[in-house]
Amino acid sequence: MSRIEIDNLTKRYRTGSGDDILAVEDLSLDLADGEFLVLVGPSGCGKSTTLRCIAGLEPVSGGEIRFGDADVTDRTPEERNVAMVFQNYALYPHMTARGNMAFGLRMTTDLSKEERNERVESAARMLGIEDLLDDKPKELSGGQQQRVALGRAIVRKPEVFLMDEPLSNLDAKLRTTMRTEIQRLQSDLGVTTVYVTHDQTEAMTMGDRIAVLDGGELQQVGTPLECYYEPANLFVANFIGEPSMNFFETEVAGDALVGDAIRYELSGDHLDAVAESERVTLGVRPEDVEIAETRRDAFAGTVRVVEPMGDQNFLHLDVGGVDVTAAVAGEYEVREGANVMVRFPEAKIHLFDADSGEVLANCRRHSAQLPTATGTGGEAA
Amino acid sequence: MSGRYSAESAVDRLSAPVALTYLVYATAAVFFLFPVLWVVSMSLRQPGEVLSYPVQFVPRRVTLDPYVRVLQDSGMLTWIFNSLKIAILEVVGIVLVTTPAAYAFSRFDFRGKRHVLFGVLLFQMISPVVIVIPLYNMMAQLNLLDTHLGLILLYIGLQVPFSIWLLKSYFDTIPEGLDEAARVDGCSRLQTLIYVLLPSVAPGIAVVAIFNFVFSWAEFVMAFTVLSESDLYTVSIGLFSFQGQYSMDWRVVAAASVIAMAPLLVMFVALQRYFVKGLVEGAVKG
Repeated sequence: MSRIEIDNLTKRYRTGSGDDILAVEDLSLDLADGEFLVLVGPSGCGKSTTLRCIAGLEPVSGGEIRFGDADVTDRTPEERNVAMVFQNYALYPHMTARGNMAFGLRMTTDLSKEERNERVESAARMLGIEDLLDDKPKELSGGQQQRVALGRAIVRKPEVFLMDEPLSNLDAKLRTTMRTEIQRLQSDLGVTTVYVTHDQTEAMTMGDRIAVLDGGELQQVGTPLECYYEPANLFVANFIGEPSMNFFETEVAGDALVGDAIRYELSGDHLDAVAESERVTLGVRPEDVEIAETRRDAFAGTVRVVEPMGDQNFLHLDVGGVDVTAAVAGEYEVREGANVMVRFPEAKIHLFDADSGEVLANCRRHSAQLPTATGTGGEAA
Repeated sequence: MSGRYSAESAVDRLSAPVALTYLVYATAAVFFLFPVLWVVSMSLRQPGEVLSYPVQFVPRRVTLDPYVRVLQDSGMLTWIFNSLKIAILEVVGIVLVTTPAAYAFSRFDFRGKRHVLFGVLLFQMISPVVIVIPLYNMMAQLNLLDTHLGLILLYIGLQVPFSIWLLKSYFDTIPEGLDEAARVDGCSRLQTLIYVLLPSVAPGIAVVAIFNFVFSWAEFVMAFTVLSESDLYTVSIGLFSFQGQYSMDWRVVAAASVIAMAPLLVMFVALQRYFVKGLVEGAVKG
């Protein structure tokens, strides 16, 4: 276990035509000992490249990577004491599950065969795959292969766990199960973990913190709720959250934001926030869009599509030519083509400078503690 | 009634293509087996039957006399031993040279890689007959004429390009994730090759080995150029030496040919499982 420091990491690839592609640019991250950090972003954002640089599978073009006090930037993967779980599991096809899990120990330690077996069986028990140890990868299902790949990482007792989209080949149900399992394992083992995914649900649910990347640049690093409620820029606001935040392009006109679709009156802090900007993007999350009963401070919209999810409905609306998604309670019966009034409460809106994309103001976030039962330790009421 | 009717028509529909398929197989088998069977038939005939008319495919009276003559009066067993020695050492040499080379071409990006690969392929296009004279001179200067070592080195040199390309295609089918997993598991490049990739590429190595064994066994031009002493002959030159200046006993040549074929057939039957597996995997994955 160790702290990971990444300072100004840069990775360039040279193409066949001699041009450089900047995959990661000046990335700095600091992971505490035992932390679970999720690197998230769209395809080609540089998240896997960053992970491969941490693993030592890619030489860096600039910057420094340290595990604890040790500079590992120029070390080979075998010298770093990391364990990695790959997207396609990368199990050795000619070895049994036991062989796969013990292989790293065989190569990196002086443990006897019995000791290696003991470690493998202990990890197998933890993952519930004791009965599969003598099977070869081709005899295992995707989920079982995934568990063996995790076991291979666990038995090494590495300083750092690296996981490259390890759940993306599993079906939705198994993915949810494995998500919880990985979280539990990481928490039990306390090994510093870097986890790469393009799935923002995984990012939100698994990490202590998430680092959002785009175009090789770090956009924001923070807790999942920070990134959700206080996005640093338009990209993060758009990427985190499902369905995505709704956006309106507007211009500042006195005390109001005026766009093709809406005219939105601002007050107080929001007016100060937009004082230096000319063009402003107004954002509001689907769950913050209110269906209004009066026309006051509301905008007319037409329901185009209804997505019933059970607990809630997603309404896809046309508001003055802009697509707006609203999340309303599942009990509402909404028909397509209905005309409704929608309101965006000022406390719930986000404002971004349209030119730089940087946030000007975020929604007011109220956090509350979940009520917990107390005094239930066996006392009869 | 209707059930019976449909069952019968299903059989009819199935049997026509199946019959046609077997007919094609049978034609191909006859096409390829006929010359072999003809040689076997000839080796078992009485002296007067070889050129008799009408042609007798199955000999009226079988005799093993030609086989006895080949084994007693010629150096056939020595030649078979020589061929085995040369073929095995050539195969070992080829595998030792081409496995790391194919691994490097498959896995490493280096300046001029494409040009080198193209050059290797280009060399394969040159017929050995074209370069036989300069090769003879080189062998003479290196004092390798009339040595098996010289012939083995020549074979390795000639077969390296084809073998590299063949083996590279097998390495290309193995996901690079395996190399990376091995490196993260603590393997050096060489350990990755030995412990992780070689077992996966084994069918490809088997194909390379069998192709080269057959090549070495059947090769004539280079062997004829390098070797002149009959004790050093390989099977292919040995067969040629049965040709007399004025006459030739075809029965003896046929018997010698059957004996020469035997080790190859035994080896192929023994290894055909790996050979077919290797070919199929290469075809599907490549």
